[in-house]
Order: sequence, then structure tokens, then C-alpha cells
Amino acid sequence: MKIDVQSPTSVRNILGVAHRPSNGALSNTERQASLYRALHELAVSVAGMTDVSTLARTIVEHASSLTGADTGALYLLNAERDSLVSVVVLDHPGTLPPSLVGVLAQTVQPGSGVTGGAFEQRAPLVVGEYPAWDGAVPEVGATGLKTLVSIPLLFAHRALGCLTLGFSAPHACDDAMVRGLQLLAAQVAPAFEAMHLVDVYTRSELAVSATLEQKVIDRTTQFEAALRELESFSYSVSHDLRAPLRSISSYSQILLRDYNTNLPADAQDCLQRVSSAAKRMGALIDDLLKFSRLGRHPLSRRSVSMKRLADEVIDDFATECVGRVITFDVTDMPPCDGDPGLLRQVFANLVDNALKYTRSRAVACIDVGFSVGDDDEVIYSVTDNGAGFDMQYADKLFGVFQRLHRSREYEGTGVGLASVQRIVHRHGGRIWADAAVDRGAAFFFTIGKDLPDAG
Amino acid sequence: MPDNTVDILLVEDDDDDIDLTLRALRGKNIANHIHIARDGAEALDYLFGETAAGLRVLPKLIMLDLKLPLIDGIEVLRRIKADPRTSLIPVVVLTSSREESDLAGTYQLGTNSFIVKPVDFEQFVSAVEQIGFYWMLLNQQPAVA
Repeated sequence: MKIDVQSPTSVRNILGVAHRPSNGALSNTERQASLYRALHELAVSVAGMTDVSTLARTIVEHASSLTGADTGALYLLNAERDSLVSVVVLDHPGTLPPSLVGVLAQTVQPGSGVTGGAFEQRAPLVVGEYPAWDGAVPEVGATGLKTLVSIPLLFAHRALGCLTLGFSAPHACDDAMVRGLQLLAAQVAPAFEAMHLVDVYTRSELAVSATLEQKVIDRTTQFEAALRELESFSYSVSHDLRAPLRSISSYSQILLRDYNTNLPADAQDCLQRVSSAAKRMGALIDDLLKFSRLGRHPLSRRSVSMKRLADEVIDDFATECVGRVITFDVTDMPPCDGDPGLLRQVFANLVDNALKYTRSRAVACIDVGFSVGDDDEVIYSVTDNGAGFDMQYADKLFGVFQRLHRSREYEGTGVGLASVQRIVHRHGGRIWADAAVDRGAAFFFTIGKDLPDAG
Repeated sequence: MPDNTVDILLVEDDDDDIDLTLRALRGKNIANHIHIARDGAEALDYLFGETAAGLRVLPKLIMLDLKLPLIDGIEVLRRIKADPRTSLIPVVVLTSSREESDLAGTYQLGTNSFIVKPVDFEQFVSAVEQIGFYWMLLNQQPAVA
């Protein structure tokens, strides 16, 4: 017998009747004491085991040593709960034929043979004259085994499997041995149940995480497909809508330019309207495409001097400021971590708006500055003394193509603030406004820290 | 100059854009001989196809739209730049597209200019004039072998 557990040989045959030592029987007390020692050893050696087959082998080896059995096997109920699968079969047949190992390794149906019988009855089953037994399986009988005992592994009144031992001698297992084996089985059954539960849990967890992962992959694929569709849509908008627009605009201009003298004033006016509508539509398409491009480029974040950026943007508007009285006040602002190109667009749009809506002012005042909010959050602001707007429409401020002023008063496509919001959101920031009709407007925004591209 | 001399090969499928381009070029007498190809295959056939008279007299300038039927403008440009017979002919990409992907794609292939056709006709005329004027009259190019 191959034994690798801690000194089980010292207690060999303490339960046994088959190979009782010739120098005399052990007393009952001695047998009890040895049994508990053996069970203690077993408990210590199985504690912390996480592998079912190692646990099973340890148990079968201990049980064989305790009883002097010639062979042993441990069976567990399979996942389908319809048959008992051998987890371990001792590989030493001793005087018995080597084919025994293969015979015991076979899957057992509940109710069949000693093992199947003990499992189904959830009670130990001992057969002392196996070949003569009614339920004998011929193959097993042919191996020369005379005594077979099977002990169910019970947990919460359920049989998890069976520990089965075989002896070449008849009637080799008495009641004391059965009680000892029952004690052993009761001690180890919870370990099998625990391993089973861990296994079920791990599998379900793996299944859940695999499902989640698949979902993420699916969603990402869908998202990428949608993005590609959007890109090709933008492309064809750019190509296909601009072409007919160019024809409308160009031919009305050719008529106005080359046939001006032949056209009545009303016809000229009509053509002028056609031409300027086409230009406006061209501007809308361009802005919409610019807006759609905002979301496609990855953010390249670095430390940005907001003061310098605002100064540069204001310089860019120099030509628009000619002939107007404008005071710009740009305070020194804390830098932020953001995409300089996109943040420039934020200032450009806000300053452009401020310039536009202060047009009616004798002196336009445009301030760019900051304040510090909760948690030391830096709030940048662009404030003007222009036309303002009614705060009850503030929710429409940042929508694409949403306008709060008639285009006759203030030109624009309604994409500027939508773009600003998109950029601020991609930086993990917030944007809001405060205004009153005819009393100016203030726009506030924050730039998130350390946040990944918010999409 | 023989009769079949071509100054400009205009590769464009949109009738209105052809007409508008011709109007803009004609207005300033920039080019007298303009050949029009209405798709990419026709353009390549014109440049590389065999003629009864033997080798084609190649254009001094190619104006190329990107979105073309059969063979697109990018592919036409690639073949023009890959062939030693045509690689030195200046190519102006004229397109409706403002998409950067077009821009990057064509510059990589060695286009000489990239003009987004403006919606506004006056701007269009001025863009076409500038292209024609620059490439036809000012740009001294090496003789095409």
C-alpha cells in the first residue's frame, strides 16, 4: 500500500478484525484512543486542503490503514446528480488481481452494488460474502474481493458520495469498524461540501465575469460600428449636401452678376435671398461637421496656461473689434490639465458670443477670470455686459441648433455653445450660465482633474 | 502646339461643378484646352491608355475631385504619382470635403494643392482662378518626359 500521510501505520488495524496482531487484542479503550488519534491526524492533514482528489486520497489511505483493507475507493455524486464517479482508487491490489483498480474506477449508478446501495439508503452497507450476495456485480466478484463495505458521506441529510473499502477475507468488517468509518466520513463530508460550493461559486463567478466581458466587447463593437456609421454619415453630409448647395448658391450669384441689368428688382431680391440662404446652410453644415469631429479626436491633456490661452484668443478677434469700444479684463488664472486646442475653442466660442451680444453697447466689457468653489475647484468664467437672456430658457442654451435670439438680431448657427459644452464634458467638467435680459451674461466652467476622457 | 494639346485634365463627375469650373477658368482665359473625365476610370484611361497617334500629350495640370464613380480620386492620385510618366504633373485636389482624413490621405500621396470647393461662387471662382493661374502661368515645372 502506498501511504504518504503522517504515520497512519502506527494505528494499523485498530478497527480491524481481519489482521489482528498475533501478540494479542487491543483493549477497547486502546482501540478508542487510537481511533481518535487517527481521526485527529486525519483532521489535521485535511485542514486547508483545497483539492478534492488530494482530500479523497488522504481519506481512503487513512481508512485503509485503520481497517487493514486491501483496497479502497472514494466516489462523489457528479454534477448531473445521476451517478457516482470515482475520485480516487488505491492502486495497490496486494494479493488481488491488478484489474481490480479498473473495476473499482468505474462509474457507479445509485442503487447498484455496495456503493450504490449505501448511497441510495444513505446508510453504511456491509457485505461479508460478496460473491454470494444478491446484489453482487459479477465483475467485482470476479476480482476475489470477499468483504465490501461502503459508508455514505452525508451532509445536511444529503449523500455527497461514498467511501468504499474492500477486503480479500470474508466477514472482515465488524460493527465497531463501521462506526469508526462513519465517524471518519462525518468528519470529512463537510470538507467535500465546502469544496463543492467553492467550485460552484468560482464557476458562476467566472461565468458572470465572462458574460460581463462579452457584454463589454459586444457594446464596444456596437459603439464602434455606430461611430463608423456616424463618420461615414458626416463624410457624405460634407460631400453630398455641399455639392447641390454650391450649385444653388453659385447659379443664383451668376444670375445676379451676369444678368443683373435684365432682372427686375423683385427677382434680384429673390435671388439674393436664395443665395444667402444657401450660404447659411453651408455654414450650418460646416459647424455641424466640426461639432461631430469634437467627439472623435482623443484628448491630449497637458498643463495649459488659461490666462495665456484667453489672451491669445482675444488677440485673434482683433479685426472683429475694429471700430468698437471694448474693455477686456483677463485676470491671471490657475493653469489646468486639458487639451489646449479644445480649450482654445471653449474660450473662442465664449468670447465670440460675448463680442456678439455686446454689439449694441457703447462700451462693451468682457471679463475672463476665475473663482474657487467647493473642494478648491477652480471655476473659470467669461462675463459680458451684453444683451443677456432670460434664465427660464437656460436649459436650451447648450443644445445643438438651439438659439435664444432671432437670427435677424444676432447671427449664428446654434452650435457654438453645444461645442463648448461637449468639450467641457469631455474634460470631466461642468458648464453653466447666469444671465438676465439686457443685463449681460456670465458663463462658468470647470475642468475635471485626472479624469480619463469622458467621451 | 498640336491640336490635341491639353492644358488641364479636369476629373469631375458633377455636371454643375464642371460647368462652374469651366466658367471660372474661361473668365480669365487661363486655359484653352481642357479635357474632362467624368470618373476615375476615364481619367486613368485618358492618362495611360493607348491612342491611335501613340503616346498621349499629357496635361500640364490635373484638377481632381476625390469622390468619383468607379475608381475614386485617391486611387487615381496614387496611380498618377506612382507612374514616372505622370508623377511630375501637378495635381490639385478639388473637393467638397473638409474631412481631415481626405486631407491627410491626399497629402501623403503627394498632391500639390488641396482646395475645398466653397459654397460661395465668388470664392469658388477665386479659388479656381488662383489654382489655374498659379499652376498654368507661374509654376515652372520640369518638362514631362
